[in-house]
Amino acid sequence: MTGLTKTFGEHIAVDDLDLTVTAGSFFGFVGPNGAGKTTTLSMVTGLLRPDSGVVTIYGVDVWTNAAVAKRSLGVLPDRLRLFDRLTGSEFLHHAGALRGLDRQTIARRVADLVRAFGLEHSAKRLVSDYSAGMVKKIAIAAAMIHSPRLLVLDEPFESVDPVSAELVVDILKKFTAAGGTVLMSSHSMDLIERVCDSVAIIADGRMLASGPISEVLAGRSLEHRFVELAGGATAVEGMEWLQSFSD
Amino acid sequence: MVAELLRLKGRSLLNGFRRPANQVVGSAVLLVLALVGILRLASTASTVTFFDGEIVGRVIVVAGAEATLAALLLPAMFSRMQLLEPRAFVGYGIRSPVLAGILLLVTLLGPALLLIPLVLLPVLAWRDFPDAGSLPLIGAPLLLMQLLLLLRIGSAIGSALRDRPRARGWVRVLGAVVLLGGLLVLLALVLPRVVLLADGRSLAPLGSVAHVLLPLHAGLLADLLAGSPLASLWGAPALAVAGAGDPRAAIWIGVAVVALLTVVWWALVAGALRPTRRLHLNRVDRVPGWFRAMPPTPAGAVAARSFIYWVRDPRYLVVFGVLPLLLVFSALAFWVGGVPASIAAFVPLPLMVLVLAWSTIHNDIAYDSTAVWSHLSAQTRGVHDRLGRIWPVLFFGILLIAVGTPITVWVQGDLASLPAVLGINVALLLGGLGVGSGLSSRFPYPAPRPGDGPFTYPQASGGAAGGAAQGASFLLTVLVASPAIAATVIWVLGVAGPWPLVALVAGVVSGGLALVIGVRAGGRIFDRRGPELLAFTMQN
Repeated sequence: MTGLTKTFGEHIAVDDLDLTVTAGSFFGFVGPNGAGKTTTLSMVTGLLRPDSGVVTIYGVDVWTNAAVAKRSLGVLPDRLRLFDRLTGSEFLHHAGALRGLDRQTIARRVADLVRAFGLEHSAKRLVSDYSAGMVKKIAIAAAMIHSPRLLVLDEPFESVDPVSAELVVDILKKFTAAGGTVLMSSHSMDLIERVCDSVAIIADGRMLASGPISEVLAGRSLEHRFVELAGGATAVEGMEWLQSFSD
Repeated sequence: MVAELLRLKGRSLLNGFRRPANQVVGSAVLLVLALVGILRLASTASTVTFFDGEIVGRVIVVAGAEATLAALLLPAMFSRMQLLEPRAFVGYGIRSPVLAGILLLVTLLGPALLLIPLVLLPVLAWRDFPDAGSLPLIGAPLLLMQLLLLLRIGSAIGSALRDRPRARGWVRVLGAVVLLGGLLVLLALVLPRVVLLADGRSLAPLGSVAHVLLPLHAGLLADLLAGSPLASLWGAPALAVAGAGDPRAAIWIGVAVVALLTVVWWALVAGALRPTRRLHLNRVDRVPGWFRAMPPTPAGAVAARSFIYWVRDPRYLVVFGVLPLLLVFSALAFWVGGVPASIAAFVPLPLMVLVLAWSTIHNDIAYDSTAVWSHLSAQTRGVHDRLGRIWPVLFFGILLIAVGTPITVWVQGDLASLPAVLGINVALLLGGLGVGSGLSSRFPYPAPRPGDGPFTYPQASGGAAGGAAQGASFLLTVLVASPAIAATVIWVLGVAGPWPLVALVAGVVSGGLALVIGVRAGGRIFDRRGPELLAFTMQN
């Protein structure tokens, strides 16, 4: 992506962002709350129209040649609803058929995905009755059903329990090992540091650092680097009243 | 084989008495009561001949209709398993028509034998009316067939309901209401005569009961029933005696009913004999219901998803609650206003079709809320999205028109109005779908969110644009139907010419055009404005 910009009224959410994600990498996208992560990923995935800038996926422009670009793209957006009155397996069939897969392929892949994500006992239940973590899992499964080359996952591990998270990470690692690309955002620095091979840090819609994780970290922990780059330490100033207790 | 089955039946009948003593006594008492009842009815039937033909005919028709309904409903309500269930014969290689026939015969031997005197009652009752001729005798065997078939079909329904307690509850309640209603009508017919006969004696309380039952219009109801499929075989002699209708047509209707029931029974037996096909798949591997019914294309996926929402989501289900209300209110309004049925009949069905077609499709996207992103990220073509959403409405709309049109024509009273009624409703259905598909992707407006109640008012205001779009789409839909409506009005005013046909053609053409244009235009707008639509749904 180059020169990606989005403003909401006066507020500049994403300001002239450039980022290259190499094919086959497991790319982490981190930033403080309101930094513009979700906005950026929405524009990358063709869900939110950018004011300016170009996004290309494997050489194809997402915004001018959407049909081709989106074929190689699987998406997990953050905080958007699912068709949650479908059961788990209906939901996956819906996703598969929307992608134009044939019935046998869908049935086989749904069975595989349901097993791989440990949802066997919930496949017949309505998605609206799922816990938050299960919803994330079924949505990731739906994003994979058409075997895309690039997965863009916005906060895939929010409220997912550690066991399931490990399961999903394993699946994603196999996916990248086979040549697939993952671009995911997360609040969990530990996780990003552990599983990603490249990382980008943004704050206030600007790119602070990006590249292979070893370069960005420069020998320190991601958490430390992140706070340092995003300048979180200054927020504590001006809160002296909290130290003088009212009674 | 027939002999074998008869022996089996005899054995199972006898075994019915190999129970604890009190139950045997109970069954015996019931049997005796039934016999006494039939005898009592027979003696009544042979003494009614000094009444006029009208009351005899009406009582027979209503009692016969009640018996017919009871033959279907009682086993459906209370039978938990069928005696000699067809499925039990799956391993013997008996062909389904043969088995269906034998089972029917076997059913007759048993308590059902009492049906024979029952169907002969009209013969007794009509014997002093020369006009009835041989009609009661012709009717008797047909009636026997009909009742037997209904018994078997009823018990098949009953055994199918065994594992569905909620549906069973509904069937029981509705069945009880229908049967009790029938008994009341019968009472309303008989009581005035009884009071009249017993004049001078102390039957005044019965007279007041009869007075209370007057609003049932039992006589009118009986006359209506006499020609209907429900009681045409019971009513044929009455028609002949009254010289009112065509008794031979009534017999033929009865024959058709028996034929239809035979086919249904045969199909049930054939269905039960079909081998079970086990799918070589686990539970999770099977394609879930609606997705199996629809083609595995993007449009099919949207359609399957829409169907599921139509039957699961209260925001859609509310329409099915509103439709009958529309019917009731419009009927009430016309009744109060004194509008003649020949004109009033035209209104309720189009009103219902309009509400179904117009009010649901145009806020479909808003109902999806932000879930519409999945269409966007799969780059679902707008045309497919539009087509998929149309499916359920088209399905329910066609169902509504198919049921509503005959009723409308019947109330209206002139068969010639059929094409006009069809024309208007098809135009409204297709037009509503077309206009809705076209405008909803351009001017969506806030709707209750998923999970909210259907009457919740959306928090974000749609502003004037939303309201205007709503009004415009309503007007446009009516506009699409206006050629058909105009032609119908001309016909109602009495202008000569093939106006009902014109209405049909105009309705189909204008509705079809509106649908095609709406879907294509809406699809194109959807393609172009996908991200904006998503942004819109995020605002509410």
